[in-house]
Amino acid sequence: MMVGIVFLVIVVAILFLLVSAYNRLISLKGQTDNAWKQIDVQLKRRHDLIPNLINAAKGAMQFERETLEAVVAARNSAVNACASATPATAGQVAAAEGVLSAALTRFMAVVEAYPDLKATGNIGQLQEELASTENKVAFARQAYNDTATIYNVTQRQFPTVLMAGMAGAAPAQLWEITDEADRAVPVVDLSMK
Amino acid sequence: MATFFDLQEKNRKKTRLIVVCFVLFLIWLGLGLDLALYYWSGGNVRTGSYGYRYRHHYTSSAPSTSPVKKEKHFRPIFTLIVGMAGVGLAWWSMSNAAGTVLGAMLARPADRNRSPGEQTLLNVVEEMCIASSMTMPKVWIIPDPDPNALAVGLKEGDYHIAVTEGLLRVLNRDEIQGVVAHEIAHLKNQDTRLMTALAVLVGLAALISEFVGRSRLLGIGSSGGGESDDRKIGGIIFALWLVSVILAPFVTQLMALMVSREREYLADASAAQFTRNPEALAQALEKIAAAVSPTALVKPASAHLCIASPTAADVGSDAGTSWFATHPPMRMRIHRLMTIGRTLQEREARV
Repeated sequence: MMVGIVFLVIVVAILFLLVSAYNRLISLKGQTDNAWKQIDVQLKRRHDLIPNLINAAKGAMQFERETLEAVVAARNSAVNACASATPATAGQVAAAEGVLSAALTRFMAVVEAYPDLKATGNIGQLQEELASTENKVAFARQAYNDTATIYNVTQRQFPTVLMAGMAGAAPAQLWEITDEADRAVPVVDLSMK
Repeated sequence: MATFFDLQEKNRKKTRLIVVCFVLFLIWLGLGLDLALYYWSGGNVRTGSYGYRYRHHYTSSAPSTSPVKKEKHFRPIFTLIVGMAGVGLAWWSMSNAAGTVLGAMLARPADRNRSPGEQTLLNVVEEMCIASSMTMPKVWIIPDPDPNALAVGLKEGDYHIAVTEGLLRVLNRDEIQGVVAHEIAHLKNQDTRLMTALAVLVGLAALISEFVGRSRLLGIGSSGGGESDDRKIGGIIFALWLVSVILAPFVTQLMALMVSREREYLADASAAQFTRNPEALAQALEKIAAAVSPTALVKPASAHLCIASPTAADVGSDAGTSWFATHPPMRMRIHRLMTIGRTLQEREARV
């Protein structure tokens, strides 16, 4: 009788452990997917903001046409890369967005160099929006990486590792600044000179 | 080297320990009297003052199978009363709307078009919500020249962050980001709920103490001689319980403040996680500490929700941790943030 009860308690405890491990994995998977979508949302926001920025700056920046054109070109290729993005193709999206970030950085530097431009119209306001959007992309990426790291580590930990197969858990790819993207930045700079 | 994740884990464990002690202490406040009465009524053949009716001497070693034994149920009446009072108080304080706190501070909603400062603030709050995977809280401006910020709200959908006009004027963008991250961290870590719960427990302890002080319960201890073992045990328990009750308001208040200080450190460490820029928050804290004037519009009751204590006494003090402060000393917080910053830099250098 006593042995039976002890046995039952152990079985229930193990079951409870496995179920909570399974639930934890599923919850983390959902969080990771959601964090990935957040990056997407923020990238789209950035893409939508750029036409406004270009329009506001166009008149005053005739002499910096190449800079504007580089931003537009980088934006268009980034939009294309994002259109078919999944966590598996994170590398390609990261590369395209890296190019866009570089172009925008250059644009911001140009704006900084012309105090008149900053003072006129709503460039100042747009600048803040752009800075914020850049931050949002970076923070969305950071949140995704933090969540994905926890997810990946949990998959390999005991006891969750036992349920990884049943929960369909696969390692999520982190959004890294790849060598490819790093190398792409100077290429844009050269083409504009 | 401690990363912010390690610090957060350590901090959460510490808070959990304090809260468990807290609850055990309150259970003891209820159970102590019940136990004392139980032993007393067990030792005396009498109808206890709390309705206990035990005809037999209570000795646990006696393996009695007599039906009379069934009468000797331990009825924790006082514990139940304490528990019910706690639930009632909790319900009352949870139903208190966040709007009352904000209304008392004359807060107005932040408006993107009103000034560049408010545009930046709203953007920064959005950024920090993304970094922390939170939903956007309502953002308020408090018309006070002293730099300070606070978070209110007990549940998702009713979260609010308020900053003073002084904060927007004194701090730069990165520093505002650090402060907002600290406040978002308070909401994310559910500190607002934790501190409300602790306030309820502190209130409960004060209530019990007041009740005992005014009632004639104190007379029970002196009545009757101590000839049997049970009476002695009951007497000892009662004495311990009485001391606890007298000290309760003081002890619980100190424990709540201890939790409050731990949560400040935790919010700082979480802010470092969200911004990856602990130096900016450290700078912001330095600037806030430099502004020695108290934040007049923030009431002391909301002090534990602020980025820095709004009362004048705590702001400028360089002393070690005070037992009565809601916040740890600025110097310690800045020191810890700088340590996190160095760890981050070292890791980046290695990659």
